[in-house]
Amino acid sequence: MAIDKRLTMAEAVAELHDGATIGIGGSAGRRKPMALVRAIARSSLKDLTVVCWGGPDLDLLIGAGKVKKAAYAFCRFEGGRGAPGNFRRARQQGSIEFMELSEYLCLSGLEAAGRRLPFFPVRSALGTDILTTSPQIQTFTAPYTGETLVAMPALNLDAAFILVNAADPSGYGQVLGDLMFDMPVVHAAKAVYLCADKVVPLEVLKADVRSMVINRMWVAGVVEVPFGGHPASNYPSYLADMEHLREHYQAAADPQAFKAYLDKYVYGVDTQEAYLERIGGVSKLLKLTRRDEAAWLTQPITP
Amino acid sequence: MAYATDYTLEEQIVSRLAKVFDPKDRILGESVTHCGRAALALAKRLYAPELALVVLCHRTSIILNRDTLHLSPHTIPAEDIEGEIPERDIFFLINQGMWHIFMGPAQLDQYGNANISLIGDKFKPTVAFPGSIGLPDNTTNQKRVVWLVNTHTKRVFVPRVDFISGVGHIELRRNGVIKYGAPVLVTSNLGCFDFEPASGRMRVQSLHRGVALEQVVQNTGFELVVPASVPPTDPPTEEEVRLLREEIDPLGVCRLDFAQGVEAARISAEITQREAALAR
Repeated sequence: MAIDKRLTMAEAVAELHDGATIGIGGSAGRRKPMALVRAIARSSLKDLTVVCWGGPDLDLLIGAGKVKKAAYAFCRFEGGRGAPGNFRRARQQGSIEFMELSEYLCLSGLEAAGRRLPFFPVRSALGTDILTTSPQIQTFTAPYTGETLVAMPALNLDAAFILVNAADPSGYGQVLGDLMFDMPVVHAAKAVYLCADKVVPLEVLKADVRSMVINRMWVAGVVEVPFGGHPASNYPSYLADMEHLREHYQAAADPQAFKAYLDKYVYGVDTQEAYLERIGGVSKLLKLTRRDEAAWLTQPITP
Repeated sequence: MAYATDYTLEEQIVSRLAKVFDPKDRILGESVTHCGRAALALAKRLYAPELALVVLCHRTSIILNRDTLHLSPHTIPAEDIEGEIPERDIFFLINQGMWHIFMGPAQLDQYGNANISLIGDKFKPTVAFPGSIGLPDNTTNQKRVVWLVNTHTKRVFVPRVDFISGVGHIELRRNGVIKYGAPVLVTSNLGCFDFEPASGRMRVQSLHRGVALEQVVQNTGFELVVPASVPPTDPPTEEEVRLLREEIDPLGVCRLDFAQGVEAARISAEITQREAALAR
């Protein structure tokens, strides 16, 4: 019997529960499953713990009031120097819980979870305020050498959301760009949901077996969403929408302006088709799918 | 090796930074500042041929075999590309001390602790930045750490950082508990600084051309270790200056590290215009 894990955005989000810990793939403005992030923002879910290399995803979920705790390597837009407004305000007001990590601590916590271990030994963060502000992260004396190391606790995820270029209904996922930290995120999660630009028969994916980097063993659901990464990039399909990221960044500077942003792009659109119309329709999409030499285009700078 | 007589502040700093690498260093280098990037390119050509320069592109991070500085997003020409490296692999290099990043913190204290996380209270800061990012990894794993400060003021050089993102010469390091990633050099627009081994305190190493010691002391928020005599920073060599002007930074992008306000806007506009003209 053929395995079919296809779900709608709403069905995938309905499998989460209040208080769940979720991981989001990608980094800053690259390979973010933004359509599913918006679906979470539209849902009645609350009190989520979010683990990520944050960008528009984390900032949007905080702005939509969905986050109780963030465990993060950073929250920034691609190339941008400052923190986006919703993240910045929440951090400054202490309105949600922040477990500030480094990039390697985040990676190591996921590695521990993926290997069903309580912690992962690292040198990172010794002597830093990462340890004083998150006292649950302990140090220990290493057997064999006697060195003092940090025991990064496992970051066990209830669910993970990963952007892929294509998937088949059984859950094989194709990634053509940099996988970044997505495999540790996948391995750390009980249930993985792929946000796929397209769903194709397995035969089509098999034409390029080496790009089928996510195995169906890990995957709970496959959601087909064309341009599901927008406004983030998904190599080679589309570039990041810098105009839209700027619009998000600027709106996030003010709570009222961000409410209007959410009304326009999140609450006010319940299908991806309607969303794509609203962000500029065909002319915008043609601009973002401009492929000329895009592989070696350096990342642009956001405000 | 003849010293140049006609050189800029940026060229003097880039020259100093390029000399932190050992001839045998096999290290992947990245920089947040323009001068740091120019220094990596210069070091690769003259002092540490196995260095590799990395830059984030649309597809992945790519390794450059030569680097010409740009300001606007641009497509790297194929002949400048040596290979590519997935983001996750970079962390194996970090773990083994084969990664170096040039960057400048928001605050730096007398032990070389660096803060890029927040200003104010650790739980209710007055300003929050994106996070500590890679600093807790870099300062415990790299072969050496260098801090770049563009504007030498008491706002940056503080007695105690509000959040230790990158760890300096605190007791844990002096005791040998933290084994890697020690800050070895700080450069600012005024001079170069290292750390006194016994105390771990920041020490004046050299002063840039035309800078008086008094100026440094007055703009530093803590007491620096000042040796009996402080030499001037070595000028760049003639060869370094030629490479920087003709090949590495012909547009003068490095000027932006030390320019502010109207002057920075003017330089940016000038460079962007020249880039657009070159692209045509």
